Amino acid sequence: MRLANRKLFYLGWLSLFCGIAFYVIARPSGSTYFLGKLLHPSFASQIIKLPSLIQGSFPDFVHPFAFSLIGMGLLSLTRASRLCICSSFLLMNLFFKIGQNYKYAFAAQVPKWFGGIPLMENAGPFFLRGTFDVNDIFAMIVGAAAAFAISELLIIQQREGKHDREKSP
Amino acid sequence: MIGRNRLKKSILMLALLFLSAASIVASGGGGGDPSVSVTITSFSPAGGGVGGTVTIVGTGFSTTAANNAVAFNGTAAVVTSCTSTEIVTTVPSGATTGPITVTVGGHTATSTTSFTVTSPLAFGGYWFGTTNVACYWAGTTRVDLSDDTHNALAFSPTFNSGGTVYTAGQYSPDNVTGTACYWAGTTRVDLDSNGLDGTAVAVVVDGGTVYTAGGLYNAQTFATYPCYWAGTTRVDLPGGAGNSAAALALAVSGGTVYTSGIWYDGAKYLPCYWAGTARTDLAGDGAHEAFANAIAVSGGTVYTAGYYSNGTKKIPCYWAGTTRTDLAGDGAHEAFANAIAVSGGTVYTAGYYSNGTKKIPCYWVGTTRTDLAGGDATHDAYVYGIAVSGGTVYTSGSWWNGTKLTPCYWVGATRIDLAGGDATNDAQALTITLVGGTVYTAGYWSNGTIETACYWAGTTRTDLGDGVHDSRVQTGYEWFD
Repeated sequence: MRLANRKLFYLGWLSLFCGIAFYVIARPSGSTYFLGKLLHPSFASQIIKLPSLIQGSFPDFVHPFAFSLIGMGLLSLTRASRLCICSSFLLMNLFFKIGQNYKYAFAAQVPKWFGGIPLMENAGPFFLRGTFDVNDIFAMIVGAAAAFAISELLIIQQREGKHDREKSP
Repeated sequence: MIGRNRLKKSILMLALLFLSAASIVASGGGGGDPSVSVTITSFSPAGGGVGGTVTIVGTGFSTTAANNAVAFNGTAAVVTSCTSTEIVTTVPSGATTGPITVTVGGHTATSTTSFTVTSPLAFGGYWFGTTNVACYWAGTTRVDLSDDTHNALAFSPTFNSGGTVYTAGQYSPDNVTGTACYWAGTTRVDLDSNGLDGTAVAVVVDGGTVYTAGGLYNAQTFATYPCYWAGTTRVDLPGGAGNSAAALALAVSGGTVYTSGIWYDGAKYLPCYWAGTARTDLAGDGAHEAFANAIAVSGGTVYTAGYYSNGTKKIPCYWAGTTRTDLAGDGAHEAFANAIAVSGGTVYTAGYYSNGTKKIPCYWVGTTRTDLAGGDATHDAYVYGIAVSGGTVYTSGSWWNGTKLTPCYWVGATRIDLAGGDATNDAQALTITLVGGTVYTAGYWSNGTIETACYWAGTTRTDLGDGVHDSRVQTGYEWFD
């Protein structure tokens, strides 16, 4: 399959790996489901301590940012569809974050048969144990907006470059 | 071709959204480990007060209690006992409503439903408007159990189980004859009173069944007949062949209902307890009256406390089974045992004795009496309630200074005065319990016109009545008095 935009696609994956790296070095493994599954229990302590705003909200920024870039890089170059992609990932992140604010109501909606199924079993604890912070909401909006802005810049640059090449003798 | 491409892109977008959602869920909620699976599948009851017992069922628990870290919405709890699939713990002081977590070796399981922390305190009583209105107080909130047009009473202590407060009492639909009843929350359940004036004075919830005990008063014969109710089914207890008898206290152990009380043999009241419907008579001196006021069941043995008269004076005692152990007053004057507790195989009783000049409050550990300080050298003081925690004896009561009764409790022999309403009117602490290390006493205070039900957490008084209408926290013992 041909990528819509390689730079956006690879930048998205790079951002996603940065996000994973952040969890590995800046969050205790016991605080997240996937680290608890992947890492040995002895790897329980975070390695670095970042400023609290970054420590708390970086994942909320990077998640819509990375997935928006991957989505745009994979699927579309039109402005309307890129806006749609960024909005979709922003809304998804907002849904889960707001769910952590109304934890009991959301956790109660998680089907019991999720229990015991890898990943899905963590849906309830995700809402119950997660923390809601307005900064996280801002971080998500900034993440999605930044992804869209980068796509605009990259695509404008690429179009100008292509235009220049076409005009040059 | 364009349509196929669009379909492919839509599928890719959906896949990306699913991957995104999965990664969000995976990035929170706590760790797990494939080799160490800690799960909580259920807990019971669904709610309760501080100090209440909670059983957590799941997998991956440590069989060593200290290795299981249990928390109620983040507040650490003490594990009482555990197996790999079950943890028994108590609701810790300071716990708030929220999920229960169990952490074993750094791996945490979180319950998917919340444990509801209810007030540890629930006192039954009544307030007086146009009639007596039955009510209980949970914390500072008064919950009316009847309206102000039908006479009703409720008794303390009530029983707080699974977040529901159970209160025993009486409801009079015609304001003439009462029907024994209990309230589950505010829902009244009438108990078969056989057309007589029924009153339930004690309630226990065991194995999902509500047990109540009390008696039926026949206004024609002036006799009271003892009984207990399992659910709404009345079980009559053998009393004194047409003469009065009453079940004053209730305990349920191993599925058997134990009640203690008195029966009249035609000449005098005699103490007894009932195991189911089998009455076991307790011996006084054989010739004079005796009372069993309180009951406790421990290790399969029934303990009752009270007193008997030898014709000259009343002698406090307790019975382990039917074996009476006399408790010493001053040897020359009357004395009473009003309350009993059994802890670690030791019997604790509390009451007071007279030295001929005044009544002296005291408690007995086994038969060893410890005198408690009243207010001065010349006036009476009384003990009504007892609780034992960590080997320390806590008692509640009041002392008289010649003008008024002052409520108090004692930690060991040290008296701690509680604030009544004013400098001239009575107040008393009738019941005592310990929850999360805090001493709670309940009783009433008077301003000379209105009696107001109240409780004290430590020495801080919280009024339960509204200050306009009379209100009382009352005990089953008072009912028969």
